[in-house]
Amino acid sequence: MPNPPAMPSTATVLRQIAALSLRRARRGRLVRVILVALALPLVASAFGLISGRGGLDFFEMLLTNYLRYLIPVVMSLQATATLAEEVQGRTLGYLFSRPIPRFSVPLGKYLANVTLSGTLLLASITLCYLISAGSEIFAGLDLLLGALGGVLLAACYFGAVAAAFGSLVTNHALTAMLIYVLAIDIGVGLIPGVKVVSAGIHLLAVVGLYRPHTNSFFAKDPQLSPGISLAVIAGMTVLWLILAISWVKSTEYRTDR
Amino acid sequence: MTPVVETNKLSKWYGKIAGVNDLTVKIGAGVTGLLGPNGAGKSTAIKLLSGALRPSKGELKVFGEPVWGNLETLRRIGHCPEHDGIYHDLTAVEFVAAMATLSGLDKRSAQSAASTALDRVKLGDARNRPIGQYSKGMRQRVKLAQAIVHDPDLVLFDEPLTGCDPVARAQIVALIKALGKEGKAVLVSSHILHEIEAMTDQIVLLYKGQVLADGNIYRIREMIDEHPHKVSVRCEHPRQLAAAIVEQSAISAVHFPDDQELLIETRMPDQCYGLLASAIVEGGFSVAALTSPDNNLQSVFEYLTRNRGPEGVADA
Repeated sequence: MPNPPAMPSTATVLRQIAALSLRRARRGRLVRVILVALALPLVASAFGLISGRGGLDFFEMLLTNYLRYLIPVVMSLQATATLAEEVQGRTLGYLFSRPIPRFSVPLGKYLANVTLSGTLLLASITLCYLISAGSEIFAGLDLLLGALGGVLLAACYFGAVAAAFGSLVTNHALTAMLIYVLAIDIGVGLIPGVKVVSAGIHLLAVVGLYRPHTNSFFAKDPQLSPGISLAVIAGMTVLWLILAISWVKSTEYRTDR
Repeated sequence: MTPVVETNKLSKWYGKIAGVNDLTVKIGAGVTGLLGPNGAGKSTAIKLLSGALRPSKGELKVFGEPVWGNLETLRRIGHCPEHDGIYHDLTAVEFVAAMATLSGLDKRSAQSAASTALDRVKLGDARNRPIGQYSKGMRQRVKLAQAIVHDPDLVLFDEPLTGCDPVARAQIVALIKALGKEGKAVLVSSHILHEIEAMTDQIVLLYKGQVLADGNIYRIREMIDEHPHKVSVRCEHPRQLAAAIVEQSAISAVHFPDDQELLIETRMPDQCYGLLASAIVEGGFSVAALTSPDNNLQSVFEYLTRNRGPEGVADA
């Protein structure tokens, strides 16, 4: 047996928590569920190509649906993987009894979730582009580049939301996050005048797919610049992570109920 | 000698329910048993000591320092929880090595320490199998391995013998005694006096979140032996197992609550467990679970608190 070891550095701890999460995710059902979800736009792309409706406009439509629906849903699936599954599976005690900062658990899991889902999402959107762009492949490379950046940003943002929901709501984290991202965020994004509060709208603005409506009789949609929307999403990502971290730092998770 | 664990009027409340209440106790090196019926506050006390819970009131010090959020202190503690929660999708060596790394060992040392710890709990041959394929007793031993992999100075075992077959029980008892002999402070909780007695004669008796007595075990043992002790064995052929032991004088009665369970009553638990171990090994019985309902201990605790009060047993 070795002597009591030195304190692990925060970077080491984050890496280990992330590695542990990735190892478990690879062997669990989550990756398969995500792959099935990501197969849907590929099928749609192929259908678009076969039916002659493909092209860059079709890809823009796909990208909009990625940012508004698919990425929020895929990242919601990760919410339970933050702390909820550790609480439900009664394994959190193994982590919290180690000499590691409590905040490292949601943060390490966040890094793992974004790495895993981000990689799959980037591969998926690239394939969608290659399938749907057809003869316009080289003409739309700027669009693809923007799409990749937008998808990565969305994965980081919704991953942070998942980290917060997974830390705060340990019983029904997936349901709670789905309600937030699909009902509240999208719902707000449909209301003229206040849609600037919706993260989904800012993500569309970052990739240049936000189309403000100016003919509403009671409120006009605001104009959004990609730069400001990028800063808003980055700031919101940090805020969600801070919420997750501060909650975990001060909360006693009961694993005996 | 400076106590490893020192609490002063330590309380932990879950809303209006007290997990532990005004707990004042000192625990030094060697093996100490934390004995009490279910709901006595054993697990809460151990979770407080492991840093999983924050005290509501009072003082808790381990190695002279508070535990909650204190990484330096946590580094010196190993904790084996009571529940069966574990990473079923990892192999034993992956799990234990990951825990070692989180305790500060580098990757190579963690692998080596994990192998050593798994050898120590007699799981060396099964180290590369997913934990999900393990029996309950094997999972219990993996939990023990992760608790000792980083060579802690204080090891907390919460009901470590739960669900283990007689052979695994003997191995775990031997391990706990060895850790005590190595100079570590080992705190073992159980609701079964017989289990604690096999490891140590130093006990802290908990009841309703408070210390009812601490010190030597023998006086308490006498009182508890006045009550019938029950042992439940879940196996495929309970009637055949019963037939192998029922004639022995240590067995007061046998019952069959269902076709997979044998419930034994005894006033000689030592001999009873010995008989059971022999019968199981010789008959090749496959035992799914071996437990001891704590009704006997509960009745003794109620008897002690009702008729004698805490003072009556404090000098036990």
